[in-house]
This record gives sequence, C-alpha cells and structure tokens, in this order.
Amino acid sequence: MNSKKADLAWQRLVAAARTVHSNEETALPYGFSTRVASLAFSAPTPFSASLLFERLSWKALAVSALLMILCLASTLPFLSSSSNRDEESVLADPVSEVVDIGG
Amino acid sequence: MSDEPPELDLADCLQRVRNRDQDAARDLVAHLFPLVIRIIRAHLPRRTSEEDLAQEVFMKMFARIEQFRGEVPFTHWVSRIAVTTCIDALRAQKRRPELRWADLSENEADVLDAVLSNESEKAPDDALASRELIEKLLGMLKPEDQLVIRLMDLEQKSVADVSRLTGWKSPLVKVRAFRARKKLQKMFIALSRKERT
Repeated sequence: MNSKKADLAWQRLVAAARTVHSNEETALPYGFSTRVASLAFSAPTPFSASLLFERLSWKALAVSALLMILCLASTLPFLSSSSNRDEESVLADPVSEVVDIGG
Repeated sequence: MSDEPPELDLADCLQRVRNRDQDAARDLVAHLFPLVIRIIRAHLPRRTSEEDLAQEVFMKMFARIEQFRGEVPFTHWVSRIAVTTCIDALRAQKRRPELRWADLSENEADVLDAVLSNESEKAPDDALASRELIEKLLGMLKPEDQLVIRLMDLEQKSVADVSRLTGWKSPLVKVRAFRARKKLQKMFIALSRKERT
C-alpha cells in the first residue's frame, strides 16, 4: 500500500464514520447549573496581574493626587509669605542702600 | 437539532454575572450547556466524565469572564475554552503506542479489512465500527493532531473555523492537519503489512 491508497482508505473510513448521527441528550443534568454557579462564586477571585495592576494604578493615582494637594496646601502660605519677606528684605537691603549712597 | 443555544440576552446576563448574580450565572450555564457538551463529546477522551469536564469548562469561563472584551462572540470565546480544556484532558491521557489487529473488535477488523483492501470509493457499511476504529487510530496521535483531524475530517470544519475554535493561526492548522494525515497514512501502511489475527 502506498500513501495515496492509505489516504483513500482514511477518506473511506471517515466517510463511513460521519454517517453516525449523534442523538445523545444535551439536556442540562439536574442541579448542574446551580452547583456550577455556586462553586464559581464561592471560589476566590482568580489572580490576574492586569486587574491587580489596574486597581493599584488607580489607587496610586488617587494617593498621589491627594499628596500633591496636601503639599500645595501646606506650602502655599509659606510661598506667599516668603515672597513678601523677599520684598521686605530687598527694601531693607544694606548693600543696595550702600550702592544707592555710592551712586 | 440546531447547535445554537436558546435565546438569551447575553449582554445583560454577562453584566449580571460580573455583578455576581447567581441566577444570571445559572441562566448562562443552562444557555451554554448544549454547546459545551457537544464540543466535549466530539473530543472527549473516552474514560473522562463529560459532566466533570463540562464543569471545568464553566469554572474556567467564570474565572476569566472579566477578561472577555467582546471582540469575538461570547459563544466563540466559550467554545475556545472548551476546546483547550479537551486538549488538556487529552494530554493527560497516555497515547496508544501502537495499534495491532489484535486490539480491534471483530467489526472494527472487518471495517479495516474493507478500507484497506477495497479499491472503490464506497465507504464501509458499519458506521459505528468505523467510528470506533477512528477513535483507536486517533488515540495514537498527539492531542493537537487528534483535535485538528476530528474538526477537519469528521466535523468537516474549514481551516478558518478550526483557527477560530483553537486560536491557532491558519498556516499552523494546515501544517498540523498535513502532518497528522501523514501519520495516519503511515499507520494504515503499517497495518496493511501486518497479518490479520
């Protein structure tokens, strides 16, 4: 027997096997869906790196935004007062006074 | 009987399942059971309980449901889970090292005799024995080869269908089918050289 005849033999065998009609029942076994649904929801949530990353990313974003607001809130009075002090120090600057006198 | 499961508002049902609604989960299982059980029966390793395997498919489906993005129809997505679960089950089984005439029943040996000796196109009469014989022959192939031959030769699915069901690229499907058929040819040649016992 050569490859061609072997292939023909396989095709004949398959053609015969295809005539078997499956009339098996596909009805849901009693209690199957309830069992599967309760098992699925009782199982711990599966670990998913992408989901974990997504959740951590949002948390990290929220925490960093909060920190930024807190930093701004805490430094804003200092920044505004220091700019006033700068103006005062410029006004009371002895070097500029000496330069002015020299000029 | 149609392969399509009964009507269900899938989008709504999936949303409820994601919100951990058990009634929706039950509806989804009931809706998909005929589809899943047909895939399992078509590829089932003989000694595996089909109900256990169906449960495994549904557990995987629920575990991965958050990953379903709707890029393919949900039934296709579930079919792929069922097919890969069947491949895993086939991998767990030991492959038959060799098929001998002595391993065949009387009817199977008659069918094999007929297909090996008969030069005509006519298929053998005993369809059930032909099916059993095919199962024994496929039992000697790798799980992926078994799957591709079952889908393409027995279920007459196209390369595109097999690609969709398995997730394999079309060239890979063609190569696997070619190699699997070559192996089957070698088996037939080897059997034809042996004496019927």
